[in-house]
Amino acid sequence: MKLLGLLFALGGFVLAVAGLMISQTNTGRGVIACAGIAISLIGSVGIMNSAYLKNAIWKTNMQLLLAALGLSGLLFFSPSLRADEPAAAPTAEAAAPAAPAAAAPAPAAAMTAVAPLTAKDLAGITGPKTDDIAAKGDPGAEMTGTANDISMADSKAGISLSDLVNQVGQNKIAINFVWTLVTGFLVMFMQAGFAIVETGLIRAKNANHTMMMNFMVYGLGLFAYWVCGFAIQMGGCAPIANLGGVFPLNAEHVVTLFGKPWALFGKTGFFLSGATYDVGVMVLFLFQMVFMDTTTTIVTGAAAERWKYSAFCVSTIGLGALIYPLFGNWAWGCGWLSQLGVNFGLGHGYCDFAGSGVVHAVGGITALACSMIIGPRIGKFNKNGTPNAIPGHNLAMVLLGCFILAFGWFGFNPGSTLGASGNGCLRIGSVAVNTMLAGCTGSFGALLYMWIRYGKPDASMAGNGLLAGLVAITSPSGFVNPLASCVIGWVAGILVCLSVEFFDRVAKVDDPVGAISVHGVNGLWGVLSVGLFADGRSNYGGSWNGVPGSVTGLFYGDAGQLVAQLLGIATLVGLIFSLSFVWNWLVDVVVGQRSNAKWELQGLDIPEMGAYCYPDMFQPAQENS
Amino acid sequence: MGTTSTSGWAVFWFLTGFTVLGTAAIGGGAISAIGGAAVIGLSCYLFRQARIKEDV
Repeated sequence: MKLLGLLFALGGFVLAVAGLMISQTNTGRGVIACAGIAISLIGSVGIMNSAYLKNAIWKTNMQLLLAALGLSGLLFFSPSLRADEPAAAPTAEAAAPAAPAAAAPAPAAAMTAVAPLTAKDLAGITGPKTDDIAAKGDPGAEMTGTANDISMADSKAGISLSDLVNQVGQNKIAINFVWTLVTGFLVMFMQAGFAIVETGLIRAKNANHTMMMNFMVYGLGLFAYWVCGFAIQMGGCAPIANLGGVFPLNAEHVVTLFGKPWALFGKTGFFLSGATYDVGVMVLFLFQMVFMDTTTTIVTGAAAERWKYSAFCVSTIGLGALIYPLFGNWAWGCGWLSQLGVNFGLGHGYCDFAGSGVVHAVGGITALACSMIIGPRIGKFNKNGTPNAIPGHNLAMVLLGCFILAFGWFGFNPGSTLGASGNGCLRIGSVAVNTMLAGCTGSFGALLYMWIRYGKPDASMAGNGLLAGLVAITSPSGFVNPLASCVIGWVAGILVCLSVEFFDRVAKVDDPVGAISVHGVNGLWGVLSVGLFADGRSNYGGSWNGVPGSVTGLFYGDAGQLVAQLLGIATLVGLIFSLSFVWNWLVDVVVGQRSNAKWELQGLDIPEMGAYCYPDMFQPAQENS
Repeated sequence: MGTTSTSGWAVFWFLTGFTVLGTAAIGGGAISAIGGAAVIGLSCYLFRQARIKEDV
């Protein structure tokens, strides 16, 4: 059954990609991609999962399935989608008209003509005398940051035009470096948020074990990413203008298939050695590394309370070294998904601004694969298959962790511009507000759902709703307006509750912290929402993924973008799930993923880690006296 | 009862093998690839030994 399920999952992905060759229209490609996604889901969540088969959702929830199919049909046959047909590969003539409309006008040219600066204008410019500053200080900040601070090639000749232009260029890159580094530091702090959210949601007897997984996932993931993950992901991504070009990252492995180039993985940057010992590359590495670490830490939540520590170490290495970087390359490293626009005329190719798909869906889908392999905790399900609630031990930790994560998300999304100066980077304000709004509507979407359905406003689900909203807005945050952000967050808040119920009651997959629902399901929703809500008003230097113009979703007239997003989803649920499952199955065969049943009942703190997180709670009173 | 030092050694050799394998991409060539794979193989053997000891 496992093998058959895997074949279905992979087959769905192959079908979705083959749709690019089978059909030349957006409708055809979209329908085939949807069919591929459905086949992959039947394989992964259905055939591979015996509990799911017994419940046979397609029999008990026929109305729901029909409604979903009807909605999909409506979307695909909507007027805006049909107006775009056929979706042939763009020709030079077709692409050309879009460019002037979208290209960022040079600020000076857009307003008034300005006389060009000449060397003569600079002659005689001097800064304040240093003796004055030494004598009086500069409390009013009037003498600090002046012409004195401009680096000159020849100090005797004074400031030249060349000095000035170089200084402006360096200042722009400096602003972008500082922005990217500081937002990267914020994302790094999200590890603390994940650690205490997950630990708060599990039982006290496993607290040390869960904290230690979250703690070491940072070191293990970072190490794997330094050795080869970064090179595979970003080894061929140059140029990135906001970071000064990062030109050493210039080698991508490309194969030609059906007459089109398919970029598969990068080939420079292993161990950050050779020419990649470069300041711009270092900034990019730090920022991308903390994103990868977010992915690896998602899995620890879903597999908590029964994951053998040595298996966790090996599994994390595989995710950080290969699985995450592969999808990261396809989406962000100039890989084949990002080039769907250039090669097949599908909008701007697969667009994932800050990683609903790359970071969260990859983490959530790997968490699903791990949970299915490891199995549920002892006592989670009764003999008749009904689930038991296993409450976490500290709700205060959970909600504090959610706040820390929400704070870190202001690094996650706005930081993904990789700069604050030039190429439309001033949109960081909009990205930050979108992030804030979606988190807000996500939390009260979940809160109200639980309140109305169960009569109480559930704290842990309100927290998960906040995270679900943030996960969902991660991908579209750079492309949508505030109203769409609210809708995306609201849907995510409700979706996370429905998804938790589905995995608990129907699929019988034990996920102690709801990671599969928060990150996997809402990651996919975030990816999809770009194809629906992107409003075509963003402008990051006049093009995105090599396609001129702004990213525009179905509701604003570009059906091709939705098809590109669907292909991204098909890749995630088909190929990435299969890779994760096979890798973790191998770890299960060799290392053994599940801890001993006796250890699990006792709690993993002592058998695995050798110390309780809360010794006062468990050790007999005489030992403490 | 619980995890043993054999598991720790197995993780150590897995990390070492993975690192050596990675150096194949920066000029280590076939020697790194074979050496890395061999060390990972050793770690797999230790993981199996640990499972027997720990009764997992």
